[in-house]
Amino acid sequence: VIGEYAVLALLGFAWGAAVGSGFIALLAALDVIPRLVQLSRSRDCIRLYEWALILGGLSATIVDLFSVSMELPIWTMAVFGLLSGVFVGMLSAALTEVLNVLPILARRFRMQSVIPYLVSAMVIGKIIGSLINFLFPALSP
Amino acid sequence: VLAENRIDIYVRPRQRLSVPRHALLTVGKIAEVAAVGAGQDALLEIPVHRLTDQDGTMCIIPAIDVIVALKRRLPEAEIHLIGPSETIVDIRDIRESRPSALAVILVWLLLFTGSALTIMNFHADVSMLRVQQNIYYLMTGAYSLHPYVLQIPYAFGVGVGMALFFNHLLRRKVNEEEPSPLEVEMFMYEQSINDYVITQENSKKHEGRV
Repeated sequence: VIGEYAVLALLGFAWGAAVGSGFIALLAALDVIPRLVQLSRSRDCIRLYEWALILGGLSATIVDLFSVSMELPIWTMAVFGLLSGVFVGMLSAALTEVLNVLPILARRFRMQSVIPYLVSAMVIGKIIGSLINFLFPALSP
Repeated sequence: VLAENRIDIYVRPRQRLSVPRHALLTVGKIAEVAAVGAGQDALLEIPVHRLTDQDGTMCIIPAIDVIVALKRRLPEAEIHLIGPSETIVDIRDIRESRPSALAVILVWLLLFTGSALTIMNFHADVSMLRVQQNIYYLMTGAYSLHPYVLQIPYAFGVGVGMALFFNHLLRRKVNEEEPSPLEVEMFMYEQSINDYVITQENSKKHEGRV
């Protein structure tokens, strides 16, 4: 029995290590963190940001797996919602950028001069899409 | 004695320029020129190539053509090439100079719809509602079928995040001198198109000779 537990524990640990490193690799590949560092001009604080990622992932895993509620007041939900939204927004912008849609479109249609409007189209589209998702679940795909 | 009548001309071709149709491309238009031991202004006016309809919308001027044109005028001058060995010339059509409003609106709507659709697909993909209900429970201890207080800030956060990434909010205030990732991407894309065009044009010429 102890042998089985040892194998399971090893399996779980390896699994978690793979998921954790994959998660960080994804973030690194998408350039979200360098972008945030560039925006906030805090190149010296990268160590702190690494710990933020590690602690965020770890604490979410713990509360999620053990289903323990933190019993926080409701307004914390709004803060969490906004922050997670900003993060997902940056992720999806990074994806769009990797896919190179905008530069190609702008060049094809000779629209380099109106790129800010094109970006606004995507930004507003994302907000409306999310709102439809949540406010009218029946309309969601 | 030798140094006195020696003429040195330094030529730095521009990488890309945009001119109207049937323009006369002179040395000064194609390249930056610095002359030592000779008048510079006269050199800038030396014609290199007159654009015709056959040039289409784009043509390549090899730096060699500029050097030949200079040599023809000043056979004894020594010419130093610094910079790219070709110049890409975009030939402007007057009606193409500004995108039409209708086209902009269409592209805007295309991006808008695509962007909305992809985020909805993403939310469905990751079972966003269930995750949000779970987070709502984990944080508050209560269960909510529609945790709006989480969802609505999230939705606007998605927009803020994208705008932040593209440097839309902070452009004027904080990060004036930093290019946005989109500008960098745009530059890389144009750069690879330039490389492609030059390589392609060169191999075409080569085939023509053989």
